[in-house]
Amino acid sequence: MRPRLMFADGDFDSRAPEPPLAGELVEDLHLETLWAGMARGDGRLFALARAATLAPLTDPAAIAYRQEALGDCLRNAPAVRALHALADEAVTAEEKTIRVAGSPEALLNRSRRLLELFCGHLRGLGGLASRHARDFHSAGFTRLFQLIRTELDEEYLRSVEALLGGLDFEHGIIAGARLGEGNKSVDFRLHEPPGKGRASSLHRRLKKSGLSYAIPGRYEEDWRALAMFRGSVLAPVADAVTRSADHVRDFFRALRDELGFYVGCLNLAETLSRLGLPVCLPEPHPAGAGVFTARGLYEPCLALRLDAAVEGNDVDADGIGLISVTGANRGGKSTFLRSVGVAHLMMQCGMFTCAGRFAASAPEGVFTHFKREEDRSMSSGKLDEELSRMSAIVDRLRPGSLVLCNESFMSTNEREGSDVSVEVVGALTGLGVRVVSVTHLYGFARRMREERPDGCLFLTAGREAGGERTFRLQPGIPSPTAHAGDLYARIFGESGGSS
Amino acid sequence: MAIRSILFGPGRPSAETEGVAEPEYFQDLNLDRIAEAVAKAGEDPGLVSCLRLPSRDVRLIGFRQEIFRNLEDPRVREAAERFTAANARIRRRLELVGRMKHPPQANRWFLDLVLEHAAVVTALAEELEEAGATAPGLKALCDDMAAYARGDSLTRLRDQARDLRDRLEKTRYDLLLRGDKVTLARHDPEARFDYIERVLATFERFRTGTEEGPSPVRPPEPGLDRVEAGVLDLVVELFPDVFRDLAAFRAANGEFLPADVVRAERELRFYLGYLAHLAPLREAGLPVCYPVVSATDKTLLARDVFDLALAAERVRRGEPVVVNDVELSGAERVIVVSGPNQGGKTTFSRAFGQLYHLAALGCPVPGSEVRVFLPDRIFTHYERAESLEGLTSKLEDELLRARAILDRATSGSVIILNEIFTSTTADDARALSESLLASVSRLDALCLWVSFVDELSEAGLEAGSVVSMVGTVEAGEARTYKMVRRPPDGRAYARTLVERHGLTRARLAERIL
Repeated sequence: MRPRLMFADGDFDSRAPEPPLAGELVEDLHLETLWAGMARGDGRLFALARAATLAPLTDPAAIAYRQEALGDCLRNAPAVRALHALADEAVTAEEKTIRVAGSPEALLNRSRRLLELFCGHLRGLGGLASRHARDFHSAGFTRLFQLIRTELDEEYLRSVEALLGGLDFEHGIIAGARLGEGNKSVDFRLHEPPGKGRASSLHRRLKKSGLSYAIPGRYEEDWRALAMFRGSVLAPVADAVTRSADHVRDFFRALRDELGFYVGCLNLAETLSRLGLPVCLPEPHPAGAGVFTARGLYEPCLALRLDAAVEGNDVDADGIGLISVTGANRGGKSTFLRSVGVAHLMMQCGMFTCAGRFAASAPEGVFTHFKREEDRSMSSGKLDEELSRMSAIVDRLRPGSLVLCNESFMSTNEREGSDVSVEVVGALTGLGVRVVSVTHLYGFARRMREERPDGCLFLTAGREAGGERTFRLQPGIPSPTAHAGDLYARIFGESGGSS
Repeated sequence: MAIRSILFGPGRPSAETEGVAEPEYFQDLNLDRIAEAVAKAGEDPGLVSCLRLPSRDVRLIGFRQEIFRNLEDPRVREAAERFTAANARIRRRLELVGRMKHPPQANRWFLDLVLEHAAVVTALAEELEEAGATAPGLKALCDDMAAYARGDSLTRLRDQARDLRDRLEKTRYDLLLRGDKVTLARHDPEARFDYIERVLATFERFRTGTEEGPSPVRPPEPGLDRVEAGVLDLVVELFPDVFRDLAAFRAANGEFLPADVVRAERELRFYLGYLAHLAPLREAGLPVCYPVVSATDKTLLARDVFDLALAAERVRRGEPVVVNDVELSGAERVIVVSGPNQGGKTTFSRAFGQLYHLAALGCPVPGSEVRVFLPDRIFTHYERAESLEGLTSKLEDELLRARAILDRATSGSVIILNEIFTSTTADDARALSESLLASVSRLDALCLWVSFVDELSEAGLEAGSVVSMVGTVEAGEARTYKMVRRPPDGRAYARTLVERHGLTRARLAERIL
């Protein structure tokens, strides 16, 4: 019994270790804003969004499987939210039932009570399934509803309740045993508990045996010892019942988590729709196919932060290894870089993307190499630190990976920085790694353009006549000014020095 | 029966390996920390004594090195580890059994321990044989254990014990637990005891196949509580004969564990503990090798050596360890080490000193290639914590200690001096240092001297007996310390960094596959 809403053939592990360097990715792409937008204050939804985003898929078929399920969710939002609430209720009921450590008997009683509770939730699940199944068409949801109908029918639930009734051992415990290490009684094998009806032949034989030990009953420690002994006889059945309860809980937990991801998607879709921003189901292509085309690609985290619509960009970069972005300071270059990274990650976890249209190869990992704010000095250690971070990225790179560089290698002088960039970025693109680079190193941009004119796309943060900057990027040849003069003029209301 | 020593070789009287005093130089060279770490890794605090007994006997060192090499083979090592762990367990449990009050239970523990002992010594002999124990020391141990395991007395003991255990294991019974009463009867083979399977089958459909099996049952604690003892007494009533024979067996074989076997366990722990201490360092890529030793040749060759105590800590914290080369050939006797503070000079001096001691234990040593002299004594002079009496008496104290070293040192000694005469003026320090160096040179002893007096090496350099090494700090965020005979050439800074991080075009092509 697994939900299989995230993978056709596997479970979603929301606690899987995050990939190395995830911390930088999260910080550089402002992913926590994205997740907060999906979570709407629910810590668990946040964690699920985080786990899904940081475990990107590369197989287009696997992505399509989630996109289909997401399509079902977008069409049936109330039913999906109700299923999620039911699963959440079951898991919460378990969490509220305190797990006592130590005594097998207490553990047995707890697990028995819990399974009785779960029977109610399982019935509720059956009810929701029969009401809504016909509205869902994706492979994932169709399979899940089918499973609920066949595996959790009324006959089964009754047999479970009958079994739970016998587990109170009201008329004593019968077991076989043998001598183990130290001549302790071990290997207790439980017999069907004696019931109200006619006693079994074994039960009758034991009652006639006459070989008995009764605790004197004067001291508390005798009763404790007896409870211990009962505990060791009941330990295996307590374990079996507890594991069974754990399995049922795990089912609900998996259901809650996998639905939780889609609920997060619903939340975000609603918010963006309210802001009048478009979303689309992206077209994933295999890694290494070199596809990257987008219309109106915008950065959702910026929209969420401003709580307003934001401007998007068009990209035509099919077959392009290096996208180099130059131009005006505060011209939206970093925002563009983030929109590229976030869109790839959203596509790779099966979400919609924030664009009118988005088609791209699913990269073998998205990596960020952003300038660090505290690293403004030109001291020798900073270049070393930048290179060390790049080296850590290289350890994880494969052909088909995507690297987003934001003002990399600018902690040294322009000439050295350009040399290093040409060496590193040139080699990476030559090896099939796609690089999107925001840079002020014009020497680097110029030399890349000379070296491989067909493999590079140059975008500039444009400037309309009159110095009013626009936030849309245009294809354009890098020009050796970062428009700092404009910015200065705007802020100080006077003409700035040379830029 | 006698099991020969693997620490002291054939025909040698076993030296006393308990309560050996700590050599004076131990703390200065951090050898005390190494010894403690090895004893901890070997799970026997008494091992520190074994690590305080350096030897000048080239044959004994060879004998131990061969055992170490042989134990590097995982199959041989694992055989030895299984033996030491199992034998320790037997010792612990025998003690417990001696304190138990309820005979039907204590006798059974005893019986199991006899069987375990027989299995453990047999397994050691067989596994060493199979794994190909080739070191003479281990072969002797293997032969002696095999002879003991096959001997009449152990065979007879084992057969009796097996017979008794088989009879005990056949005792099966059923019980009814209700209220304050436990009732027993002989086992009913017709009845079905499959209730748990029924429970599991009911919830089978929720299993994912990935979870583990039943939770591990805690091993029963030795000793019975009152109810368990009551139940066992009922079992004794059901099966009286076997319990009578069990009591007779223990009475006849109380002291069965031979002292030789216990000694062999400790000796193996010396080797295993040392190798276990090295293991994480090797995993981190640090080289370890078997030194070539000589009691006559004073030349030194040491490639990629490091301070074993410090390296263990740095590896544990995931920090890099710097290795150094050092060499003394021909008439060279004295190494003067200078350079900036925090340049790793003291660490280097410890690495140097440790080599001489560890090699003389017969142990593998830090380094990729090491040839080393076996000294008659090692002397160290490291700065002590500031004494209360003030500067003049500190200088006096240093001179007294230097004098004491020179009085006792011979041409076969190793002397390590670290930052001496720091408490006086530069001129005084130079003058004192020069005359001390002259004395050391006359002695013809091996010496490593960490000194802040830059000109110190000049005089001796001319005579050819003094070598100068400089500590350098390599550029970069992570400071790395390297001892070199001359300073390295500078290269274009950015280029060097790119190369250091493996980010050149050529390296990237290798790294991204």
